[in-house]
Amino acid sequence: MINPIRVFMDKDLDQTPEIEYLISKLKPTPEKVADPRPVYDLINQSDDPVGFAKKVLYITRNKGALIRQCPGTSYYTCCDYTILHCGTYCTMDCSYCILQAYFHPPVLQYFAGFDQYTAALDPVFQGDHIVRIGTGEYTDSLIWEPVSLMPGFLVEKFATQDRAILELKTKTVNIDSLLDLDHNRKTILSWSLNTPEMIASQERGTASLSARLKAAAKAVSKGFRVAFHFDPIFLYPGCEGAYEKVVEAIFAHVSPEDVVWISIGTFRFMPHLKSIIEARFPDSTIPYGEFITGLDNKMRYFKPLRIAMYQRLGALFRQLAPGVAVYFCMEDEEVWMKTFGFFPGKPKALAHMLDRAAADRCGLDSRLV
Amino acid sequence: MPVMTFTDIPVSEVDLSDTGFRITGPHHDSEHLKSSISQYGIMVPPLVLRGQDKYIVVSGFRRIEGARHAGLSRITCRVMPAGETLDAAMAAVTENSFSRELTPAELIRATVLLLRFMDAQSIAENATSIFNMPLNSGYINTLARIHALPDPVLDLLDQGQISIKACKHLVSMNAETRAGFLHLFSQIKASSGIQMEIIAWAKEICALEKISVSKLIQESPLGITNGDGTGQGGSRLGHRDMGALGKQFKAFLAQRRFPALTAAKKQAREQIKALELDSGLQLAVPENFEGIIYAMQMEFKNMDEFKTRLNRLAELADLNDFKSLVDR
Repeated sequence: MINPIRVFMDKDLDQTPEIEYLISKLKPTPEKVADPRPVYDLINQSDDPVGFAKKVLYITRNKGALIRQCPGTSYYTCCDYTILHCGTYCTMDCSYCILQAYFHPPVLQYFAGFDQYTAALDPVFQGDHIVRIGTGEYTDSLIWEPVSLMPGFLVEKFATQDRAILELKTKTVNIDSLLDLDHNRKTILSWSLNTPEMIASQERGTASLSARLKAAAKAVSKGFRVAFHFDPIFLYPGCEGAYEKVVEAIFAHVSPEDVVWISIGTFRFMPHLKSIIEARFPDSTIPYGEFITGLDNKMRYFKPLRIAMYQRLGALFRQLAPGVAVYFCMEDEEVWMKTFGFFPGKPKALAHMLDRAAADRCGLDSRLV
Repeated sequence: MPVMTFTDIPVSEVDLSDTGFRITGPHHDSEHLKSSISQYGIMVPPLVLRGQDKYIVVSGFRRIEGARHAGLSRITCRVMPAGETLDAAMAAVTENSFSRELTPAELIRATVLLLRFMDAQSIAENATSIFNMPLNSGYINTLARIHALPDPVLDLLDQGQISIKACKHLVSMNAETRAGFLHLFSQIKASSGIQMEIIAWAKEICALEKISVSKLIQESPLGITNGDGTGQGGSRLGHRDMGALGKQFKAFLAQRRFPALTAAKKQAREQIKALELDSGLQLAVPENFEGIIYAMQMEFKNMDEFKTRLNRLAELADLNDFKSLVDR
């Protein structure tokens, strides 16, 4: 997965066991830099910075906020997720990935420094409310697992408390080093899922659906709780049946009781991502769906088409896993009502629903929900 | 600075067939100019380059054509010495650029003319002095690539049927797709913005349906031929008809590209029409049906009108058409 052709590292980074381990796993010897400029310049000089940046690793420390709130938007309902910002960008190559357009330039960064993470997380662990934290917002959580001690460090760190859960979201099957850790159910291993045809055509370098589900089953066998994200769902001829088969496949591998939550969301994108997809994935037709401009200025499928798809999946979830929290990432009242018959419209209502699911499945302090 | 002399020369010694320096298109209407020359003669002497046995026109093709038309046997020209081709090219461009804004096709011809003598970077560095506007080297190269497109493109540019922006997109297409679009734009008239929309939607439909642009056009209202192979948009049509065809074609694409949205909009329009709201009441559905807020605007001139329209609004709540529109 992480197989860089060039590695850069801040020259003032301490040679901790974390860094020594990382370097021992990487082939090119890191080139020491005083600041990120040489990395940016190298990537910007490439004809395809988005593709090239996947092969250049920059080891540094996070100089901004390590813990951030998921940005969300005002009109669509957000789950109030918290992001642990431990790295940026990704080595896999999904046609629809927003990270292609999000960073200028895109840089595969590893934010080192367990001391920094401890300092940021300890107050969260002593807080008075449940926190759901994930590392998969600006990177794939587990592309780092084969080369870094970070995922294991975080799993063990979260295992020591009962006020926060860590969600490691991935399209890989890189879980082996985590399986035997004492996780105390405070880490949710989660997989972003899609149909086999969409994985094959739109998700270069990711694990197959079957491999992801087998990994999920393996995680469950080691006592981990798991979650799944159908995001993005693509609308194409035959998609309803194809996504239903994926849902059925989930519960052929894991029991609903082991699933903390499942999110669903159809493909949406910032308008300028379209030209990037067209240039980098010329055979992809995903930007040519029946999109309209949403109220957050992102392109979204025409709402009745979204609702029809959600209703099919919603019915299947009710049938196969009635006790699992299924939620929308960034949808509005009409979509919630027409799909699930309720709308978590009050402030933090969706967050509360997911906190409750986390408390129930992962043994968090339920008095804080 | 090119050296030139004012010389009275026989019109017959000017070679109008050598169009190497010509920037204006062949479709330029010069009837008024011909009439003016017949009455008043040539006000600004054309610029010619001394050739081996004839004079080559650098600037003033239409003036010389007008002189011939008026039956003049000799005209005063500014004559450049033989061999000064770079100076002649520069003069041909600057003379036109500083007397009026070049049309897109003229800009392309002028650029390609200069590229015979200098590279894009040099042109870009001197663009404001030559073209009376800045041009960067990337744009200059794009103009050259547009010039290399098949023949109809400059004609279409001359006739305002395709924009440079649209041509830029054609440059990166394969020959078959490009030919399809050139054929399309020869049949319709649309603004630059709509041309771009047409190109994008048509390309997207073709990608989704795995068909060629020609096939898509065939399946459109433009594909209905008149028996002479010209289609509805045959050359006999005037601009107004071509404009209508452009609108018709765009509507065809919108329906095919966004079938559910188009159908929903049509249904909403019909439902609103069925409500028979009077002119002072305007109902707006959420844009693209994404939001959930409907808006009703009421205008009134006096209390009576206010009450009448308020009653009408109250009646709406009981109408099934209104319910089905709002409770979609």
